[in-house]
Amino acid sequence: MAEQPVLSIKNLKTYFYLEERVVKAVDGVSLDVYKGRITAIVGGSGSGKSVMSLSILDLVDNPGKIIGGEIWLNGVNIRDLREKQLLKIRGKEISMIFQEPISSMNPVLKVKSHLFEVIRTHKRAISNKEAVRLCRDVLVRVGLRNTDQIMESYPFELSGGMCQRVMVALGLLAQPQILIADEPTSSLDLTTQAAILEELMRLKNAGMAIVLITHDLGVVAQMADDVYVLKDGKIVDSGTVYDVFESPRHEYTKALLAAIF
Amino acid sequence: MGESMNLFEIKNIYKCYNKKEKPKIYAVYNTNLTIRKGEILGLVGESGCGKSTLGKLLLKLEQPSRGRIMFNQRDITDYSFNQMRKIRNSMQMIFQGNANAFNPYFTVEQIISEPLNNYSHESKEKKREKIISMLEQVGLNQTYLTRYGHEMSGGQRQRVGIARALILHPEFVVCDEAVSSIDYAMKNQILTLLTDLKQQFGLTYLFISHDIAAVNKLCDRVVVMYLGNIVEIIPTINSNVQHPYTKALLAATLIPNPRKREKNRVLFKDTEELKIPEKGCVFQNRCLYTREVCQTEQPALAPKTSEHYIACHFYHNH
Repeated sequence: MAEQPVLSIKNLKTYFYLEERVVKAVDGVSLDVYKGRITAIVGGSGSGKSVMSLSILDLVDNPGKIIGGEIWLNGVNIRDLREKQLLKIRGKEISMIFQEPISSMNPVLKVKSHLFEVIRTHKRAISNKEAVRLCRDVLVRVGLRNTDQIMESYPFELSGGMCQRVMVALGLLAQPQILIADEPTSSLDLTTQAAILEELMRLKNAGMAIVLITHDLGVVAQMADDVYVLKDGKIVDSGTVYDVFESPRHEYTKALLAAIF
Repeated sequence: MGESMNLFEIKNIYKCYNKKEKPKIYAVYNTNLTIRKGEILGLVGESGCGKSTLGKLLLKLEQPSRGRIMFNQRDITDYSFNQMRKIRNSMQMIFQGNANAFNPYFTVEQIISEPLNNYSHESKEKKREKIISMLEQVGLNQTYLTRYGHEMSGGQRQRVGIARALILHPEFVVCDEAVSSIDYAMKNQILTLLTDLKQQFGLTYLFISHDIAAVNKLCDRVVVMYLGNIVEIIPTINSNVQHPYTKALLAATLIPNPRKREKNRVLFKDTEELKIPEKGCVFQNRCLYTREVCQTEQPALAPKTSEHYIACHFYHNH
Protein backbone atom coordinates (compact mmCIF):
# COMPACT_ATOMS: atom_id res chain seq x y z
CA MET A 1 0.00 0.00 0.00
CA ALA A 2 1.52 3.24 -1.12
CA GLU A 3 -0.59 5.41 1.12
CA GLN A 4 0.69 6.38 4.54
CA PRO A 5 -1.21 4.93 7.51
CA VAL A 6 -3.14 7.48 9.60
CA LEU A 7 -2.37 5.53 12.73
CA SER A 8 0.66 3.37 13.21
CA ILE A 9 1.34 1.41 16.35
CA LYS A 10 4.80 0.05 16.94
CA ASN A 11 5.70 -2.59 19.52
CA LEU A 12 3.06 -1.50 22.04
CA LYS A 13 3.28 -3.14 25.45
CA THR A 14 0.71 -2.85 28.22
CA TYR A 15 1.34 -4.87 31.36
CA PHE A 16 -0.77 -5.25 34.48
CA TYR A 17 1.28 -5.29 37.66
CA LEU A 18 -0.62 -7.46 40.13
CA GLU A 19 0.61 -8.30 43.58
CA GLU A 20 2.03 -11.69 42.79
CA ARG A 21 2.58 -11.57 39.04
CA VAL A 22 2.69 -9.48 35.90
CA VAL A 23 0.01 -9.98 33.24
CA LYS A 24 1.23 -9.10 29.77
CA ALA A 25 -2.14 -8.07 28.29
CA VAL A 26 -0.59 -6.42 25.23
CA ASP A 27 2.86 -7.71 24.45
CA GLY A 28 4.55 -6.04 21.51
CA VAL A 29 1.70 -5.25 19.13
CA SER A 30 2.41 -3.41 15.88
CA LEU A 31 -0.28 -2.45 13.41
CA ASP A 32 -1.24 0.11 10.77
CA VAL A 33 -4.60 1.73 10.19
CA TYR A 34 -5.46 3.36 6.87
CA LYS A 35 -7.94 6.00 5.83
CA GLY A 36 -11.15 4.65 4.27
CA ARG A 37 -10.44 1.11 5.42
CA ILE A 38 -11.77 -1.08 8.20
CA THR A 39 -9.06 -2.73 10.25
CA ALA A 40 -10.40 -5.62 12.29
CA ILE A 41 -8.73 -6.95 15.41
CA VAL A 42 -9.94 -10.48 16.15
CA GLY A 43 -9.29 -12.69 19.12
CA GLY A 44 -10.97 -14.78 21.76
CA SER A 45 -11.98 -13.38 25.12
CA GLY A 46 -8.96 -12.41 27.18
CA SER A 47 -6.71 -12.03 24.16
CA GLY A 48 -6.01 -8.37 24.93
CA LYS A 49 -8.22 -6.77 22.27
CA SER A 50 -9.92 -4.28 24.54
CA VAL A 51 -6.82 -3.38 26.53
CA MET A 52 -5.03 -2.68 23.27
CA SER A 53 -7.74 -0.30 22.11
CA LEU A 54 -7.77 1.46 25.49
CA SER A 55 -3.98 1.77 25.33
CA ILE A 56 -4.18 3.74 22.08
CA LEU A 57 -5.93 6.56 23.92
CA ASP A 58 -3.98 6.01 27.14
CA LEU A 59 -7.14 5.03 29.01
CA VAL A 60 -5.72 2.00 30.81
CA ASP A 61 -6.34 2.17 34.54
CA ASN A 62 -4.13 0.99 37.37
CA PRO A 63 -2.62 -1.55 37.85
CA GLY A 64 -2.25 -1.53 34.07
CA LYS A 65 0.61 0.43 32.58
CA ILE A 66 1.81 1.10 29.06
CA ILE A 67 5.47 0.26 29.36
CA GLY A 68 6.70 0.61 25.83
CA GLY A 69 6.02 1.28 22.18
CA GLU A 70 5.09 4.14 19.90
CA ILE A 71 1.72 5.34 18.64
CA TRP A 72 2.11 7.55 15.57
CA LEU A 73 -0.84 9.71 14.59
CA ASN A 74 -0.25 12.04 11.62
CA GLY A 75 3.49 12.09 12.21
CA VAL A 76 3.30 12.67 15.97
CA ASN A 77 4.09 10.03 18.54
CA ILE A 78 1.17 10.58 20.90
CA ARG A 79 2.91 8.63 23.64
CA ASP A 80 5.13 11.73 24.06
CA LEU A 81 2.17 14.05 24.59
CA ARG A 82 0.98 15.34 27.93
CA GLU A 83 -2.44 14.55 29.36
CA LYS A 84 -3.72 17.99 28.36
CA GLN A 85 -2.67 17.56 24.75
CA LEU A 86 -4.08 14.03 24.71
CA LEU A 87 -7.48 15.39 25.75
CA LYS A 88 -7.61 17.25 22.45
CA ILE A 89 -6.94 14.05 20.54
CA ARG A 90 -9.46 11.89 22.36
CA GLY A 91 -12.79 12.27 20.66
CA LYS A 92 -11.54 14.79 18.12
CA GLU A 93 -8.87 12.82 16.25
CA ILE A 94 -9.51 9.34 17.54
CA SER A 95 -12.79 8.45 19.14
CA MET A 96 -14.08 5.31 20.64
CA ILE A 97 -17.33 3.35 20.76
CA PHE A 98 -17.22 1.40 23.97
CA GLN A 99 -18.43 -2.09 24.60
CA GLU A 100 -21.81 -2.39 26.35
CA PRO A 101 -23.24 1.06 25.63
CA ILE A 102 -25.73 1.12 28.49
CA SER A 103 -23.13 0.60 31.18
CA SER A 104 -20.62 2.88 29.46
CA MET A 105 -22.87 5.90 29.85
CA ASN A 106 -23.55 7.78 33.03
CA PRO A 107 -26.94 6.51 34.25
CA VAL A 108 -27.92 9.79 35.92
CA LEU A 109 -27.21 11.99 32.90
CA LYS A 110 -29.54 12.47 29.96
CA VAL A 111 -28.37 11.68 26.44
CA LYS A 112 -28.22 15.43 25.84
CA SER A 113 -25.65 15.91 28.60
CA HIS A 114 -23.45 13.19 27.17
CA LEU A 115 -23.51 14.85 23.76
CA PHE A 116 -22.93 18.31 25.20
CA GLU A 117 -19.89 17.11 27.10
CA VAL A 118 -18.21 16.20 23.81
CA ILE A 119 -19.16 19.52 22.23
CA ARG A 120 -17.99 21.59 25.18
CA THR A 121 -14.67 19.74 25.26
CA HIS A 122 -13.86 20.21 21.61
CA LYS A 123 -15.84 23.22 20.34
CA ARG A 124 -16.14 25.69 23.15
CA ALA A 125 -17.07 28.69 21.07
CA ILE A 126 -20.48 27.68 19.78
CA SER A 127 -23.82 28.78 21.22
CA ASN A 128 -26.25 26.49 23.00
CA LYS A 129 -28.67 26.68 20.10
CA GLU A 130 -25.96 25.72 17.66
CA ALA A 131 -24.94 22.83 19.93
CA VAL A 132 -28.47 21.46 20.02
CA ARG A 133 -28.61 21.64 16.24
CA LEU A 134 -25.33 19.71 16.00
CA CYS A 135 -26.64 17.03 18.35
CA ARG A 136 -29.81 16.64 16.31
CA ASP A 137 -27.81 16.31 13.10
CA VAL A 138 -25.54 13.63 14.46
CA LEU A 139 -28.45 11.63 15.92
CA VAL A 140 -30.22 11.71 12.56
CA ARG A 141 -27.01 10.60 10.87
CA VAL A 142 -26.88 7.42 12.96
CA GLY A 143 -30.46 6.64 12.01
CA LEU A 144 -32.42 7.87 15.00
CA ARG A 145 -35.68 9.71 14.70
CA ASN A 146 -37.55 11.51 17.49
CA THR A 147 -34.26 13.22 18.26
CA ASP A 148 -35.72 15.71 20.74
CA GLN A 149 -37.27 12.94 22.79
CA ILE A 150 -34.06 10.89 22.74
CA MET A 151 -31.96 13.82 23.92
CA GLU A 152 -34.24 14.14 26.95
CA SER A 153 -34.00 10.41 27.77
CA TYR A 154 -31.73 8.64 30.20
CA PRO A 155 -29.66 5.71 28.87
CA PHE A 156 -31.81 3.08 30.62
CA GLU A 157 -34.92 4.38 28.87
CA LEU A 158 -33.52 3.44 25.47
CA SER A 159 -33.42 0.01 23.86
CA GLY A 160 -30.06 -1.71 23.29
CA GLY A 161 -30.00 -0.77 19.63
CA MET A 162 -30.90 2.86 20.27
CA CYS A 163 -28.27 3.09 23.00
CA GLN A 164 -25.64 1.71 20.64
CA ARG A 165 -26.64 4.34 18.08
CA VAL A 166 -26.31 7.09 20.66
CA MET A 167 -22.85 5.68 21.42
CA VAL A 168 -21.93 5.88 17.73
CA ALA A 169 -23.30 9.43 17.64
CA LEU A 170 -21.08 10.38 20.58
CA GLY A 171 -18.12 8.97 18.72
CA LEU A 172 -18.90 10.94 15.57
CA LEU A 173 -19.77 14.27 17.13
CA ALA A 174 -16.30 15.80 16.93
CA GLN A 175 -15.72 14.44 13.41
CA PRO A 176 -12.75 12.21 14.18
CA GLN A 177 -10.42 10.73 11.57
CA ILE A 178 -10.29 7.41 13.34
CA LEU A 179 -13.08 5.52 15.05
CA ILE A 180 -12.31 2.59 17.34
CA ALA A 181 -15.35 0.34 17.77
CA ASP A 182 -15.05 -2.23 20.55
CA GLU A 183 -17.59 -5.03 19.96
CA PRO A 184 -20.12 -2.58 18.51
CA THR A 185 -22.74 -5.21 17.74
CA SER A 186 -22.41 -8.07 20.19
CA SER A 187 -25.56 -8.40 22.27
CA LEU A 188 -27.66 -6.76 19.54
CA ASP A 189 -30.37 -8.43 17.48
CA LEU A 190 -29.56 -9.52 13.95
CA THR A 191 -31.64 -6.79 12.41
CA THR A 192 -30.27 -4.05 14.67
CA GLN A 193 -26.76 -5.35 14.08
CA ALA A 194 -27.33 -5.08 10.33
CA ALA A 195 -28.40 -1.46 10.67
CA ILE A 196 -25.36 -0.50 12.82
CA LEU A 197 -22.91 -2.28 10.49
CA GLU A 198 -24.49 -0.50 7.52
CA GLU A 199 -23.80 2.77 9.34
CA LEU A 200 -20.13 1.87 9.89
CA MET A 201 -19.80 0.90 6.22
CA ARG A 202 -21.19 4.30 5.22
CA LEU A 203 -18.63 6.06 7.44
CA LYS A 204 -15.81 4.04 5.98
CA ASN A 205 -16.92 4.88 2.45
CA ALA A 206 -16.92 8.55 3.47
CA GLY A 207 -13.21 8.18 4.23
CA MET A 208 -13.05 7.43 7.93
CA ALA A 209 -10.51 4.93 9.27
CA ILE A 210 -12.25 2.37 11.45
CA VAL A 211 -10.69 -0.05 13.92
CA LEU A 212 -13.18 -2.83 14.56
CA ILE A 213 -12.58 -5.00 17.60
CA THR A 214 -14.61 -8.18 17.65
CA HIS A 215 -14.66 -11.92 18.25
CA ASP A 216 -17.34 -12.48 15.62
CA LEU A 217 -15.79 -13.84 12.42
CA GLY A 218 -19.01 -13.18 10.56
CA VAL A 219 -18.66 -9.46 11.26
CA VAL A 220 -15.00 -9.56 10.20
CA ALA A 221 -15.69 -11.41 6.94
CA GLN A 222 -18.47 -9.03 6.01
CA MET A 223 -16.86 -5.75 7.07
CA ALA A 224 -13.07 -5.76 7.30
CA ASP A 225 -10.40 -4.84 4.78
CA ASP A 226 -7.37 -5.67 6.93
CA VAL A 227 -7.34 -8.21 9.74
CA TYR A 228 -5.03 -8.74 12.70
CA VAL A 229 -5.44 -11.87 14.83
CA LEU A 230 -4.54 -11.34 18.46
CA LYS A 231 -3.71 -14.12 20.92
CA ASP A 232 -2.33 -13.69 24.43
CA GLY A 233 -1.41 -10.09 23.70
CA LYS A 234 0.54 -10.87 20.55
CA ILE A 235 -0.39 -10.60 16.90
CA VAL A 236 -0.18 -14.08 15.46
CA ASP A 237 -1.58 -13.49 11.98
CA SER A 238 -2.33 -10.50 9.78
CA GLY A 239 -3.10 -9.51 6.23
CA THR A 240 -6.06 -8.56 4.07
CA VAL A 241 -9.34 -10.21 4.95
CA TYR A 242 -8.88 -12.60 2.02
CA ASP A 243 -5.35 -13.57 3.13
CA VAL A 244 -6.47 -14.38 6.64
CA PHE A 245 -9.64 -16.28 5.70
CA GLU A 246 -8.24 -18.14 2.72
CA SER A 247 -4.61 -18.79 3.62
CA PRO A 248 -4.27 -18.49 7.39
CA ARG A 249 -0.67 -18.91 8.51
CA HIS A 250 -0.97 -19.46 12.25
CA GLU A 251 -2.45 -22.55 13.88
CA TYR A 252 -4.69 -20.38 16.06
CA THR A 253 -6.26 -18.71 13.04
CA LYS A 254 -6.76 -22.10 11.43
CA ALA A 255 -8.46 -23.36 14.58
CA LEU A 256 -10.72 -20.29 14.70
CA LEU A 257 -11.73 -20.75 11.08
CA ALA A 258 -12.22 -24.50 11.43
CA ALA A 259 -14.80 -23.92 14.12
CA ILE A 260 -17.08 -22.00 11.75
CA PHE A 261 -19.98 -23.85 10.27
CA MET B 1 -48.56 -38.31 11.08
CA GLY B 2 -50.80 -39.76 13.78
CA GLU B 3 -52.14 -37.86 16.76
CA SER B 4 -50.00 -39.81 19.20
CA MET B 5 -46.81 -38.43 17.63
CA ASN B 6 -47.38 -35.01 19.14
CA LEU B 7 -45.67 -34.37 22.43
CA PHE B 8 -47.00 -30.86 22.85
CA GLU B 9 -49.98 -29.13 21.33
CA ILE B 10 -50.74 -25.55 22.13
CA LYS B 11 -53.95 -23.96 20.98
CA ASN B 12 -54.67 -20.26 20.70
CA ILE B 13 -52.28 -19.29 23.44
CA TYR B 14 -52.19 -15.68 24.63
CA LYS B 15 -49.89 -14.26 27.25
CA CYS B 16 -50.42 -10.73 28.45
CA TYR B 17 -48.26 -9.18 31.14
CA ASN B 18 -49.95 -5.87 31.95
CA LYS B 19 -53.46 -7.02 32.64
CA LYS B 20 -54.80 -3.80 34.09
CA GLU B 21 -53.28 -1.25 31.78
CA LYS B 22 -54.55 -0.39 28.35
CA PRO B 23 -53.64 -1.04 25.62
CA LYS B 24 -52.73 -4.59 26.58
CA ILE B 25 -49.33 -5.77 25.51
CA TYR B 26 -49.08 -9.37 24.48
CA ALA B 27 -45.83 -11.32 24.66
CA VAL B 28 -47.47 -14.22 22.87
CA TYR B 29 -50.54 -13.64 20.73
CA ASN B 30 -52.97 -16.29 19.47
CA THR B 31 -50.36 -18.92 18.84
CA ASN B 32 -50.91 -22.51 17.70
CA LEU B 33 -48.08 -24.97 17.61
CA THR B 34 -47.42 -28.68 17.82
CA ILE B 35 -44.15 -30.25 18.84
CA ARG B 36 -43.63 -33.79 17.59
CA LYS B 37 -42.02 -36.51 19.64
CA GLY B 38 -38.30 -36.75 18.95
CA GLU B 39 -37.90 -33.60 16.91
CA ILE B 40 -35.71 -30.59 17.47
CA LEU B 41 -37.88 -27.56 16.92
CA GLY B 42 -36.08 -24.26 16.46
CA LEU B 43 -37.56 -20.96 17.59
CA VAL B 44 -36.01 -17.77 16.25
CA GLY B 45 -36.85 -14.11 16.45
CA GLU B 46 -35.43 -10.92 17.92
CA SER B 47 -35.27 -10.08 21.59
CA GLY B 48 -38.63 -9.27 23.06
CA CYS B 49 -40.56 -11.24 20.46
CA GLY B 50 -41.86 -13.74 23.00
CA LYS B 51 -39.50 -16.66 22.36
CA SER B 52 -38.60 -17.25 25.99
CA THR B 53 -42.15 -16.63 27.15
CA LEU B 54 -43.41 -19.32 24.80
CA GLY B 55 -40.82 -21.75 26.19
CA LYS B 56 -41.87 -20.95 29.74
CA LEU B 57 -45.55 -21.33 28.89
CA LEU B 58 -44.91 -24.87 27.67
CA LEU B 59 -43.35 -25.80 31.00
CA LYS B 60 -46.07 -23.87 32.83
CA LEU B 61 -43.48 -21.63 34.42
CA GLU B 62 -45.85 -18.95 33.17
CA GLN B 63 -49.62 -19.31 33.17
CA PRO B 64 -51.19 -18.46 29.79
CA SER B 65 -53.81 -15.68 29.77
CA ARG B 66 -55.93 -17.69 27.34
CA GLY B 67 -55.64 -20.93 25.36
CA ARG B 68 -54.88 -24.57 26.06
CA ILE B 69 -51.66 -26.54 26.44
CA MET B 70 -51.68 -30.29 25.81
CA PHE B 71 -48.78 -32.48 26.88
CA ASN B 72 -48.89 -36.16 25.87
CA GLN B 73 -52.63 -35.79 25.05
CA ARG B 74 -53.33 -34.41 28.51
CA ASP B 75 -54.63 -30.89 28.99
CA ILE B 76 -52.20 -29.42 31.50
CA THR B 77 -53.41 -25.81 31.26
CA ASP B 78 -55.18 -25.83 34.60
CA TYR B 79 -52.89 -28.21 36.45
CA SER B 80 -52.16 -27.10 39.97
CA PHE B 81 -48.66 -26.66 41.32
CA ASN B 82 -48.71 -30.13 42.83
CA GLN B 83 -50.07 -31.74 39.69
CA MET B 84 -47.37 -30.02 37.64
CA ARG B 85 -44.77 -31.17 40.09
CA LYS B 86 -45.60 -34.76 39.31
CA ILE B 87 -44.98 -34.39 35.60
CA ARG B 88 -42.29 -31.76 35.65
CA ASN B 89 -39.52 -34.34 35.88
CA SER B 90 -40.26 -35.14 32.25
CA MET B 91 -39.86 -31.54 31.10
CA GLN B 92 -36.80 -29.45 31.85
CA MET B 93 -35.22 -26.21 30.78
CA ILE B 94 -31.68 -25.04 30.06
CA PHE B 95 -31.86 -21.44 31.09
CA GLN B 96 -30.60 -18.38 29.28
CA GLY B 97 -27.81 -16.38 30.90
CA ASN B 98 -26.10 -19.24 32.65
CA ALA B 99 -24.19 -16.87 34.91
CA ASN B 100 -27.39 -15.92 36.72
CA ALA B 101 -29.15 -19.25 36.48
CA PHE B 102 -27.30 -20.80 39.42
CA ASN B 103 -27.40 -20.01 43.10
CA PRO B 104 -24.02 -18.38 43.72
CA TYR B 105 -23.69 -20.17 47.07
CA PHE B 106 -24.14 -23.62 45.50
CA THR B 107 -21.40 -25.93 44.33
CA VAL B 108 -21.83 -27.85 41.08
CA GLU B 109 -22.81 -30.91 43.09
CA GLN B 110 -25.55 -29.00 44.87
CA ILE B 111 -26.74 -27.43 41.61
CA ILE B 112 -27.13 -30.76 39.85
CA SER B 113 -28.48 -32.68 42.85
CA GLU B 114 -31.35 -30.20 43.28
CA PRO B 115 -33.65 -31.93 40.74
CA LEU B 116 -32.62 -35.36 42.07
CA ASN B 117 -33.53 -34.39 45.61
CA ASN B 118 -36.97 -33.37 44.41
CA TYR B 119 -37.78 -36.50 42.49
CA SER B 120 -35.78 -39.48 43.68
CA HIS B 121 -35.26 -41.09 47.05
CA GLU B 122 -31.97 -42.74 46.39
CA SER B 123 -29.03 -42.84 48.74
CA LYS B 124 -26.53 -40.03 48.71
CA GLU B 125 -23.87 -42.26 47.17
CA LYS B 126 -26.18 -43.35 44.39
CA LYS B 127 -27.02 -39.74 43.59
CA ARG B 128 -23.40 -38.78 43.59
CA GLU B 129 -22.67 -41.59 41.16
CA LYS B 130 -25.42 -40.36 38.85
CA ILE B 131 -24.13 -36.80 39.01
CA ILE B 132 -20.60 -37.85 38.16
CA SER B 133 -21.72 -39.93 35.20
CA MET B 134 -23.87 -37.02 33.98
CA LEU B 135 -20.93 -34.64 34.33
CA GLU B 136 -18.82 -37.01 32.25
CA GLN B 137 -21.49 -37.11 29.60
CA VAL B 138 -21.36 -33.34 29.21
CA GLY B 139 -17.58 -33.43 29.02
CA LEU B 140 -16.70 -32.45 32.60
CA ASN B 141 -15.44 -34.68 35.40
CA GLN B 142 -15.75 -35.13 39.14
CA THR B 143 -13.16 -32.48 39.97
CA TYR B 144 -15.91 -29.98 39.11
CA LEU B 145 -18.20 -31.18 41.91
CA THR B 146 -16.85 -28.73 44.44
CA ARG B 147 -16.67 -25.70 42.17
CA TYR B 148 -18.94 -22.69 42.37
CA GLY B 149 -20.64 -21.09 39.38
CA HIS B 150 -18.24 -18.15 39.24
CA GLU B 151 -15.21 -20.45 39.20
CA MET B 152 -16.05 -21.76 35.76
CA SER B 153 -15.94 -20.36 32.25
CA GLY B 154 -19.09 -19.63 30.27
CA GLY B 155 -18.86 -22.88 28.35
CA GLN B 156 -18.39 -24.95 31.51
CA ARG B 157 -21.37 -23.28 33.17
CA GLN B 158 -23.40 -23.97 30.06
CA ARG B 159 -22.52 -27.67 30.42
CA VAL B 160 -23.50 -27.70 34.08
CA GLY B 161 -26.83 -26.16 33.04
CA ILE B 162 -27.27 -28.97 30.53
CA ALA B 163 -26.34 -31.60 33.11
CA ARG B 164 -28.88 -30.20 35.56
CA ALA B 165 -31.61 -30.29 32.91
CA LEU B 166 -30.87 -33.84 31.82
CA ILE B 167 -30.17 -35.56 35.15
CA LEU B 168 -33.79 -36.70 35.50
CA HIS B 169 -33.84 -38.04 31.93
CA PRO B 170 -36.72 -35.83 30.81
CA GLU B 171 -38.69 -36.31 27.59
CA PHE B 172 -38.67 -32.68 26.65
CA VAL B 173 -36.08 -29.93 27.11
CA VAL B 174 -36.38 -26.23 26.37
CA CYS B 175 -32.95 -24.86 25.43
CA ASP B 176 -33.19 -21.11 25.87
CA GLU B 177 -30.23 -19.48 24.07
CA ALA B 178 -28.04 -22.42 25.01
CA VAL B 179 -25.25 -21.41 22.63
CA SER B 180 -25.43 -17.63 22.46
CA SER B 181 -22.55 -15.59 23.84
CA ILE B 182 -20.02 -18.40 23.57
CA ASP B 183 -17.33 -18.55 20.91
CA TYR B 184 -17.39 -20.68 17.78
CA ALA B 185 -15.30 -23.60 19.01
CA MET B 186 -17.37 -23.98 22.17
CA LYS B 187 -20.60 -23.56 20.22
CA ASN B 188 -19.71 -26.47 17.99
CA GLN B 189 -18.98 -28.65 20.99
CA ILE B 190 -22.24 -27.80 22.73
CA LEU B 191 -24.29 -28.43 19.58
CA THR B 192 -22.63 -31.81 19.08
CA LEU B 193 -23.24 -32.60 22.72
CA LEU B 194 -26.93 -31.71 22.45
CA THR B 195 -27.30 -33.92 19.36
CA ASP B 196 -25.51 -36.86 21.03
CA LEU B 197 -27.60 -36.59 24.18
CA LYS B 198 -30.76 -36.38 22.13
CA GLN B 199 -29.96 -39.63 20.39
CA GLN B 200 -28.91 -41.32 23.60
CA PHE B 201 -31.97 -40.36 25.63
CA GLY B 202 -34.55 -39.97 22.85
CA LEU B 203 -35.18 -36.33 23.72
CA THR B 204 -37.37 -33.70 22.16
CA TYR B 205 -35.98 -30.16 22.16
CA LEU B 206 -37.39 -26.72 21.76
CA PHE B 207 -34.25 -24.83 20.74
CA ILE B 208 -34.69 -21.10 21.28
CA SER B 209 -31.99 -18.98 19.68
CA HIS B 210 -31.30 -15.97 17.54
CA ASP B 211 -28.33 -17.72 15.95
CA ILE B 212 -29.58 -18.76 12.51
CA ALA B 213 -26.51 -20.89 11.69
CA ALA B 214 -26.85 -22.90 14.90
CA VAL B 215 -30.58 -23.36 14.36
CA ASN B 216 -30.06 -24.58 10.81
CA LYS B 217 -27.39 -27.00 11.92
CA LEU B 218 -29.42 -28.53 14.72
CA CYS B 219 -33.14 -28.28 14.05
CA ASP B 220 -35.65 -30.35 12.10
CA ARG B 221 -38.12 -27.48 11.81
CA VAL B 222 -37.85 -23.79 12.56
CA VAL B 223 -40.55 -21.47 13.86
CA VAL B 224 -40.03 -17.76 13.22
CA MET B 225 -41.67 -15.38 15.66
CA TYR B 226 -42.18 -11.66 15.41
CA LEU B 227 -43.78 -9.63 18.22
CA GLY B 228 -45.61 -12.57 19.78
CA ASN B 229 -46.88 -14.05 16.53
CA ILE B 230 -45.63 -16.95 14.47
CA VAL B 231 -44.92 -15.61 11.00
CA GLU B 232 -43.36 -18.65 9.36
CA ILE B 233 -42.65 -22.35 9.95
CA ILE B 234 -40.06 -23.91 7.66
CA PRO B 235 -37.66 -26.91 7.73
CA THR B 236 -34.54 -24.68 7.44
CA ILE B 237 -33.91 -20.96 7.13
CA ASN B 238 -32.61 -20.86 3.56
CA SER B 239 -33.50 -19.17 0.28
CA ASN B 240 -36.92 -20.85 0.40
CA VAL B 241 -38.12 -18.49 3.12
CA GLN B 242 -41.13 -16.44 2.07
CA HIS B 243 -42.12 -14.10 4.85
CA PRO B 244 -40.56 -10.62 4.53
CA TYR B 245 -39.40 -10.76 8.15
CA THR B 246 -37.62 -14.10 7.70
CA LYS B 247 -36.06 -12.71 4.53
CA ALA B 248 -34.83 -9.72 6.52
CA LEU B 249 -33.40 -12.03 9.19
CA LEU B 250 -31.63 -14.10 6.57
CA ALA B 251 -30.17 -11.03 4.86
CA ALA B 252 -28.93 -9.74 8.22
CA THR B 253 -27.12 -13.00 9.00
CA LEU B 254 -23.39 -12.51 8.65
CA ILE B 255 -21.76 -15.19 6.53
CA PRO B 256 -18.16 -15.77 7.65
CA ASN B 257 -16.79 -15.67 4.15
CA PRO B 258 -15.32 -12.43 2.76
CA ARG B 259 -16.10 -13.47 -0.82
CA LYS B 260 -19.80 -13.64 -0.02
CA ARG B 261 -20.51 -10.12 1.11
CA GLU B 262 -24.14 -9.20 1.38
CA LYS B 263 -24.83 -6.01 -0.57
CA ASN B 264 -28.26 -5.38 0.78
CA ARG B 265 -28.19 -6.31 4.42
CA VAL B 266 -31.10 -4.21 5.61
CA LEU B 267 -34.33 -5.57 4.18
CA PHE B 268 -36.67 -3.84 6.59
CA LYS B 269 -37.80 -0.39 7.55
CA ASP B 270 -36.11 0.90 10.61
CA THR B 271 -38.52 2.05 13.27
CA GLU B 272 -38.30 2.56 16.96
CA GLU B 273 -41.94 1.60 17.42
CA LEU B 274 -41.94 -2.03 18.41
CA LYS B 275 -45.52 -2.43 19.54
CA ILE B 276 -48.02 -4.87 18.16
CA PRO B 277 -50.25 -2.85 15.80
CA GLU B 278 -53.91 -2.66 16.86
CA LYS B 279 -55.06 -4.38 13.73
CA GLY B 280 -53.56 -5.92 10.65
CA CYS B 281 -50.26 -7.68 10.13
CA VAL B 282 -47.72 -7.52 13.00
CA PHE B 283 -44.87 -6.73 10.63
CA GLN B 284 -46.63 -3.87 8.78
CA ASN B 285 -44.55 -1.07 10.30
CA ARG B 286 -41.23 -2.50 9.21
CA CYS B 287 -42.21 -4.42 6.07
CA LEU B 288 -40.98 -3.19 2.71
CA TYR B 289 -44.09 -4.49 0.95
CA THR B 290 -46.90 -3.17 3.16
CA ARG B 291 -50.17 -2.53 1.32
CA GLU B 292 -53.59 -1.44 2.43
CA VAL B 293 -54.87 -4.88 3.37
CA CYS B 294 -51.87 -5.37 5.71
CA GLN B 295 -53.08 -2.49 7.86
CA THR B 296 -56.56 -3.86 8.32
CA GLU B 297 -56.43 -7.64 8.24
CA GLN B 298 -54.14 -10.01 10.04
CA PRO B 299 -52.90 -12.77 7.72
CA ALA B 300 -53.46 -16.34 8.94
CA LEU B 301 -50.69 -18.91 9.07
CA ALA B 302 -51.36 -20.78 5.82
CA PRO B 303 -49.61 -23.85 4.42
CA LYS B 304 -47.54 -23.58 1.27
CA THR B 305 -46.44 -27.18 1.50
CA SER B 306 -47.11 -29.69 4.27
CA GLU B 307 -43.94 -28.54 6.08
CA HIS B 308 -43.93 -24.85 5.23
CA TYR B 309 -46.38 -22.32 6.71
CA ILE B 310 -46.44 -18.58 6.12
CA ALA B 311 -48.49 -15.76 7.60
CA CYS B 312 -48.42 -13.10 4.88
CA HIS B 313 -51.04 -11.76 2.47
CA PHE B 314 -48.62 -11.54 -0.42
CA TYR B 315 -46.06 -14.28 0.04
CA HIS B 316 -46.53 -15.55 -3.50
CA ASN B 317 -45.74 -12.25 -5.21
CA HIS B 318 -42.80 -10.43 -3.72
